[in-house]
Amino acid sequence: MNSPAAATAVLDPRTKLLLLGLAGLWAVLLERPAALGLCAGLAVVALVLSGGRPGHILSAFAGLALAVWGFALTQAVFYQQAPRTPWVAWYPETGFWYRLLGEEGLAIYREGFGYGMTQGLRLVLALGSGLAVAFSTDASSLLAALRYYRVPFGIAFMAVTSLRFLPLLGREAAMAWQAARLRGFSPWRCAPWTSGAVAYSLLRPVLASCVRRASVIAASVTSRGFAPDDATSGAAAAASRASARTFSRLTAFAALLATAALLASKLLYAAYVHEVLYRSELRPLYEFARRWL
Amino acid sequence: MNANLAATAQNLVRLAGAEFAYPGHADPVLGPVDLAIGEGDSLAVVGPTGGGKSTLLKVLAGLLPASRLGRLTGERLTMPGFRCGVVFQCPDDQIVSSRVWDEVAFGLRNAGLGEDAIRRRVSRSLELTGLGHLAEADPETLSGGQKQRLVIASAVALEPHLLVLDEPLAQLDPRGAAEVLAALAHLRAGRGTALCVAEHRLGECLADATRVVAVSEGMLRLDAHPAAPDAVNALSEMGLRMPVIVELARRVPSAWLAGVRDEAGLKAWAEQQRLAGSRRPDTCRSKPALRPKGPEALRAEGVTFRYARRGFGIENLDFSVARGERVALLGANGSGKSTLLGILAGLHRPASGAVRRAGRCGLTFQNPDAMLLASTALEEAAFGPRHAHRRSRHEAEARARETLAAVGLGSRMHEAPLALSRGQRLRLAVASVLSMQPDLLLLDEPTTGQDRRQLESLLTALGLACPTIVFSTHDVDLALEWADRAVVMAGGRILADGPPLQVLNDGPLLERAGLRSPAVLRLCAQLGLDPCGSLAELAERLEPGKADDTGGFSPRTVPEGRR
Repeated sequence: MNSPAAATAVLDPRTKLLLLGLAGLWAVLLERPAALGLCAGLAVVALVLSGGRPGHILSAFAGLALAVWGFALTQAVFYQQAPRTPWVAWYPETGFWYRLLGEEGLAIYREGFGYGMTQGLRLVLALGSGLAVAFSTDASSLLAALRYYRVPFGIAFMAVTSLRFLPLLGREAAMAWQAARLRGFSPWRCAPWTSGAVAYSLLRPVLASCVRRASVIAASVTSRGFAPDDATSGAAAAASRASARTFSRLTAFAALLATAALLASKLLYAAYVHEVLYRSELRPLYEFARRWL
Repeated sequence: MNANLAATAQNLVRLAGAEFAYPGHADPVLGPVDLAIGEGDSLAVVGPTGGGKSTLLKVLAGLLPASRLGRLTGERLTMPGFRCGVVFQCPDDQIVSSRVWDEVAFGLRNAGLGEDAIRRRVSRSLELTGLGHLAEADPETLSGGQKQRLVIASAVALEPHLLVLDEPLAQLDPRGAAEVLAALAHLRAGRGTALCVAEHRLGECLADATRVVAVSEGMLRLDAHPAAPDAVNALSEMGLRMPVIVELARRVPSAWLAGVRDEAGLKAWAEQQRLAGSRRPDTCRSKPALRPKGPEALRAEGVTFRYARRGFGIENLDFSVARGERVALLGANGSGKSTLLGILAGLHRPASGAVRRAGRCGLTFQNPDAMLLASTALEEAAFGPRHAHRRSRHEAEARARETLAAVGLGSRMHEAPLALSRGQRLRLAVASVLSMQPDLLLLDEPTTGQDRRQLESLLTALGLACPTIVFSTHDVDLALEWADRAVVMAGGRILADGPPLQVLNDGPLLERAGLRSPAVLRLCAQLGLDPCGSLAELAERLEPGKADDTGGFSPRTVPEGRR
């Protein structure tokens, strides 16, 4: 899961979790595609430097790209707000497509595409940061960091354990797929509804395995004194008492400062827009917030 | 009813009329059970799959009833301060940390111990289980035996009075199993920890047991010393695979009457009978009586395959199977058996070399649950014919019915696959492949977690349904008795390929491959006899004309005409 050589491994796990939380906040606060793109780019850089396995990182990239493209395309097609400017439009006048699409036809709207991209970039920022933290932090450090932030032990333990078992789930899903393939199933040879039904049925062995594994884990950790509501439980204490390095502290401080500045800028701009507060000396800030935030 | 009361001065835990029922079920799955475990006891809990062994173990350990899940009636009495460690079958499902040291420390931290005490206890537990040098390792990088020992170390660190183990050897190769058994013996000798082990591999788990407890249909059927005549008869009646020495003694009337129950006893008896020195190689029926080979069913030439991440795989391997052959692939975990089966089935594409198949090939996985996709057993068995052969639903289901009947699941065809017992699930997975009428059947570890009755039923069905079989197994006794050819693998290469009697009698080879010699051959060697290919033959040689040729596990369980 982690590599000592990873660039992100120099950060204290608590700092990483703090940055992850702040990334989530930034994803909500930022609205302009340029700023979101910049932050999403930083998340992607962190993901590359996380020290995760190349296959995992490539899969993560593929998933993120697919998600962004999916958001952008669906919003471009189904965007309902005004103004909207069609890039491409098609208005069938008769036949099946007319009956299906009606008089509105099918159009791809520029504003919808931009809106979808924004949502996609938000996802990249939050998910990319999360994956970077997961790839660069070992389970016990993550657990300790979560406990440092007073996350209830039961929840922290479950979160960390689920991360550890995710690859196993992937392997089991792949095995179920291979089992279907060995018995002649091919999505290209079946009707779409048959493929859908088989794809759904692949969930069955995976879910059954999840339930079985969950019960074994529960019994195993219970037999070793784990109690989700026990404040003294867990591997938290030692690591949470350890002091962070100066670099981690400085990074955390800078991130908190930047977030406070962003929050203040957005609040002041919102107050100006809603005519609650206006001060002429803040006009450069209003302009900056309008164009970039 | 989980009272923390003093049971008796000697007892660690005692169940008195204990019954357990799962929520929503009026009938208990266990009990009423009366059982007491004292200090230094070593219990082998045996019984058919689904008979209630795991439930009994969980009740003993206090894991059942879990919060609001199930109902325990009767009494569970424990001595004050009683601590119980639990180890389950699959180590991967129990390891929660990414460092060996942290995994062992997990329970200690939960107990709120100080860092110094934790450090001391972790070191001691790791040393006790022979993992001291791996304290900093990632558990993912350990072998199966090492992982299971890590789980044991995690339980042992809590200094339990009783260690409960539910099929701890099921997924281990012989070397891994030996490592775990040695760690348990060391633990019992060094700490006096009581052990309670549920296992199908009776030969291994009964060796150090002081008591054997048989559970069937939720009831305690037996609680006796393993060598007691009652115990042997009761276990045999339950269809359990007895230790080979006991099976042999039962087949040789005079040995049985002379009270032979262990290897030392057999040797003494044999010497008394003046058999030890009487080598009769000419009369050995088990000399490779190879059946005539048919045309080639499959050939792999110069096959190389490497996993992208793990690096190792199969290296320049040549392998062929003739029609009608039964080939056993043997080797330690990670030797390349499953990879080879995957390549032969077309699941993995080799980097170089080629695989030529003369017909259809079917593969079942080691974990049959991964293959069970449908909502009923009938749909499951019909899946292959429908998709692979493009049969209509009616035709596919007709074929599925035949196959299910052949593997003994004719009465279960409308049940949900995952609701069947483990043995039945394996048979269903096999049926789902057999329904496609493969010319060659590939089975990955079909014996894991199967009791003798289930195994015999499965092998009989297989012998009838598909004459050409390649199967991987850790069970060298099965390979000796059931296979026509034994192929020993290590490090992705074939070390030996030949008649089982010849291959499995090569001690240095088996040592190199991490395997152990079949029990029958070990007995032959101890008695100074030429190697025999089955227990029946050894019995016949020990007492010609008088050996009881019933029971046991031999090639004749499959009709010759269909092989």
